Amino acid sequence: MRVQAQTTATSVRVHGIVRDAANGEALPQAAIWIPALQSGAVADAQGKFDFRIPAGTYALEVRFLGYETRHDTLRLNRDRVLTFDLVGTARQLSGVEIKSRQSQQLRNNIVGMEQLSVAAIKKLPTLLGEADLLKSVQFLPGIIMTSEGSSGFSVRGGSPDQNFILLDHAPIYNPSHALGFFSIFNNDVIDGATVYKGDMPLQFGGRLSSVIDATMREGDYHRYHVTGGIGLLLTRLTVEGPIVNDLFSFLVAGRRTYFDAFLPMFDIKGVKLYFYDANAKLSFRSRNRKDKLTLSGYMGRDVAGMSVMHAVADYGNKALDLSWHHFFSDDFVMTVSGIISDYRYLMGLESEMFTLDWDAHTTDYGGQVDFLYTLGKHTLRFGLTSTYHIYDPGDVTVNMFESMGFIDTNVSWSYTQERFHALENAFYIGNDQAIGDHFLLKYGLRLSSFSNIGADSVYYYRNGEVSEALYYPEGRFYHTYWGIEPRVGLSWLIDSTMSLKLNYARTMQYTQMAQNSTSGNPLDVWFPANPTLLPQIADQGALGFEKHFKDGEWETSIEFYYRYLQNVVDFKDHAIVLGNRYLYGEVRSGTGQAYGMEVSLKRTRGIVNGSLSYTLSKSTRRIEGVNRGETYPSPYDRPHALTVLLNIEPHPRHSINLNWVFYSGLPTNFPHGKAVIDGEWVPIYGDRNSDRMPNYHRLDIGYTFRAKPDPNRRFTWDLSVGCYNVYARKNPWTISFKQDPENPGRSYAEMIYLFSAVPSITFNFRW
Amino acid sequence: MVTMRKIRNIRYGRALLTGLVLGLTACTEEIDIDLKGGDAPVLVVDARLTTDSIRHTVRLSRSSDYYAPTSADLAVSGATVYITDGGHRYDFAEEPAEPGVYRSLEAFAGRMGVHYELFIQDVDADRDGQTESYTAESTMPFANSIDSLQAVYGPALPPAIVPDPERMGWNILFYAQDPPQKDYYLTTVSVNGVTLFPELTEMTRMSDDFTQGLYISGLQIYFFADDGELPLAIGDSVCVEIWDVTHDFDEYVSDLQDALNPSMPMFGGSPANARGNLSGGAFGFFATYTVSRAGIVLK
Repeated sequence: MRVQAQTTATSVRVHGIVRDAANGEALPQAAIWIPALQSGAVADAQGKFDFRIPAGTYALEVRFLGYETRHDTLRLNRDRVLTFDLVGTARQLSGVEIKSRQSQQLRNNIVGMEQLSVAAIKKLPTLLGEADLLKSVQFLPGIIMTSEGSSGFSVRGGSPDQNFILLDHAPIYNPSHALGFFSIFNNDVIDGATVYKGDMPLQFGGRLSSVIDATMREGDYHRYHVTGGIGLLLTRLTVEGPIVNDLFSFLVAGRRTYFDAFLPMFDIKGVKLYFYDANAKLSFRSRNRKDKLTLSGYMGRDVAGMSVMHAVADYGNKALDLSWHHFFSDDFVMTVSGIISDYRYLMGLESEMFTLDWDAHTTDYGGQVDFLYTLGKHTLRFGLTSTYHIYDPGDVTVNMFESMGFIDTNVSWSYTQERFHALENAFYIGNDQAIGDHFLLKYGLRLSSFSNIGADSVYYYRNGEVSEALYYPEGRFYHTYWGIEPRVGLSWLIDSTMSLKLNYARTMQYTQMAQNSTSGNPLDVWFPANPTLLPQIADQGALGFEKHFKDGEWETSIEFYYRYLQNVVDFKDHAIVLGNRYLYGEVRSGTGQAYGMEVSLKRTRGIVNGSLSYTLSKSTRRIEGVNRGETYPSPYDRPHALTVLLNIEPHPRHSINLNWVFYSGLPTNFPHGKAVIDGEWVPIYGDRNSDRMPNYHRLDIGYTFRAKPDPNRRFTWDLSVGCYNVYARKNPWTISFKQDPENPGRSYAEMIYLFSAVPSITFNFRW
Repeated sequence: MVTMRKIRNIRYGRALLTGLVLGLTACTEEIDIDLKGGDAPVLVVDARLTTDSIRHTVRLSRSSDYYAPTSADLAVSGATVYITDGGHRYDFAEEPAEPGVYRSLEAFAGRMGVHYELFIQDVDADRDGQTESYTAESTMPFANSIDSLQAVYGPALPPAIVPDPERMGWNILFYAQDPPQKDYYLTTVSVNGVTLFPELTEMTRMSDDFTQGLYISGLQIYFFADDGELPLAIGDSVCVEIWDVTHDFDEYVSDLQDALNPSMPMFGGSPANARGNLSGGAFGFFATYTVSRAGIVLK
């Protein structure tokens, strides 16, 4: 059914369907409105629409009573088939799945971009049954978890600290809870995430490998909801609703684990071990929808402690974002945001005899202004971002009192670690341009700067020894690096089902984590580039080909990438990265290369759907002072990675989800020989990363049973049962070599593995 | 049996975190891992010079493949070994009954502050038919000596990390002046003449971060619990030995201990070879250290 359709010489045909995101049902008489044309269309009884408009880029609104209005900006300069999935305000349980993939995915002019919807995240069976953004990210082609259970991941052979993880514009320095078994992202609260593997849009920078851009969703503007879940170890609850109907909404959410309650069952007493986190978002939008103001916050803490001696280790993030979106017109949007992010860990001991205290922070204060301007075939983006960083590894203070007995005075001892301050700025400008009907060209430049600011003490090194120590007073800009980061890309839309994309991007990273371990731990030390350490630079080229079949039911893609790294860091042998004021003396830097191929096959619809992806890659480094300056495998080099995700959805109330992963083992070094010292066998190692851990693989299964779909019922629920590592593969977490105590003439290898099969059950509800 | 303490704040934090994680979920199992081998053997040196007036020992052997069983033919015989202190040369001779073990011809005591050099010559460690020479040097540290020990019966005394008031036993405390400079100590203990931790890899490392320049009056150094492997009784004699070692040697011992303990992916980087002080690619250490002892009979 056509309403106010305009037909001109350069008009294009837009047709498709509007559906319920939850169950795929057509939404009859849904309205599609194009404000720029003051025109629109209404879908027919089967939810289908079909209209013609002049070619151009438009903001679209898709509305249906009882559903969230969808706002999309689409470039409609050729005939398009669109699918709009709307989310019912009454049943948002399964979340939002943003799809009109047939066109959108082919047309986005980015190589290696993946969108993760809340629903897709929820489908993946996970450890302990908690849907988790970062665990889902680890299933994407080219992305591999760093070690069992960890939230850390390596993108195309890069290190975990080369990933920029954002929650509502605020960088999250440690996205882990419970040492990585959970991430800080509460799936009831986020609105999905976009993952960029190297081809970063201009507004992002500061990391070499990837950006995970996650946003918290806005509270419902019309109705109140309570969403929650109860799992074996974790409970979560979200409340949202209007403060002023249609204009002002709130959302608050909290999670808390209770595994500490089970510890006494294992005869572990006096131990504190839990985490909690909270999200909140206030959203205000103007009546004419030209302005939107949001204030969002996150805070979480992990606590591990023992009641004896009041020992406690505690870590967590805080993030705050204030954003203002303003539509000067439908073609000109401004986003202004200000953020504060703080990652903190502290350790403490307190007794009558002595105290120990260590409190470390990594803090960012930032602001960004971003403009998006659409003019015919051009989409111009420009903006400015500025972040003030404070790196505070914390002083370690120990007080010992006379009551200890062995000293006759109170002793206070303190290990001072230098703080660093820096200002990171970037200005960017770029254009996304359609050339004819078949080509999209993007080009842009990001100019970045990184200034070290006093009050800092900087140690200078010569041959690994401190040669000079300089103090720069407060406020003094004592060193600045400049970076020019060009980013270009070309997409060729061969036809409506096929595209070929090519891109080049330079990214620069001015801050890194002192971490030479594979699994990550909360005691992160981030440290900046400074006069003694150059910023890391990555130049990446990528080529991607994508082909869709059967109206987008099947998607296939293949991508090739090559990345050249400069000033990439590693650590010398026996480096002490924690509590070391001479940290920069432990760093070695050189060059690196990473290249690979990622193939994926997806079925997006049907009773049996899912994906299969395979990555073949290589990642190496060449660093003076490591392995005699010869090329060696980077610590995250995994030549083969295979991921299979399978969803069996025979009925709206039942679904079964399986995932199977296979990774080559991580590089490591094993003993190549031994020396006998005092009768003990001391390993003699070969070169760094010259051996490999055994391959990693596991299968996870989940089954979800849902409430009967009923639009008249407000209360919906689902019950998920799952099993992580179903066939109980013993994946080694670490391997050590030992002399047999029974038979000292024999030695053997011993592994520690973290998980056998781990079952889970979770109940989720929404009202 | 014995409370091993390391007053290293950072290690403590690691232990707390790692312990909590592993205690809850992890399992340990033997696994088959093929190792690359066949590298040319290198010379392994264990040379020690102390302030005791004794015939000092230098042990020479070859490295071998990791899984290869130990055998006597790893000993390196026929080497020329001597130590100089700038003026005097102390020659070493191989013990006829102990291949690869070289002892100084004369008994002598190393002197504090003196710079010693070790020479090992006429050795073909890699069996390529050509002999090699190796050297190392070390300066004997200055050190204090233990004044006395004290034995106290009761629960474990601080700074034992987790004192359990229910668990009784003997605390061994020591008294000594800690010199103002930074020192590195290794300690071991013997009971009724039997040394409990004769191996370097089992000795307790201590740094004086917290006690530099202080008089240590009764620091608990060992705890023998009644329900432990080695309960003590009245009449037992306990002797504590403290070595004041160089920073390099402390690092080497730490490396050895790390190499023998399972590495934790959370904290360990890539394992790397223990840092020795010998030239020519030999593995091992020429250590000079002071030794001081104190004993007590439990009453």
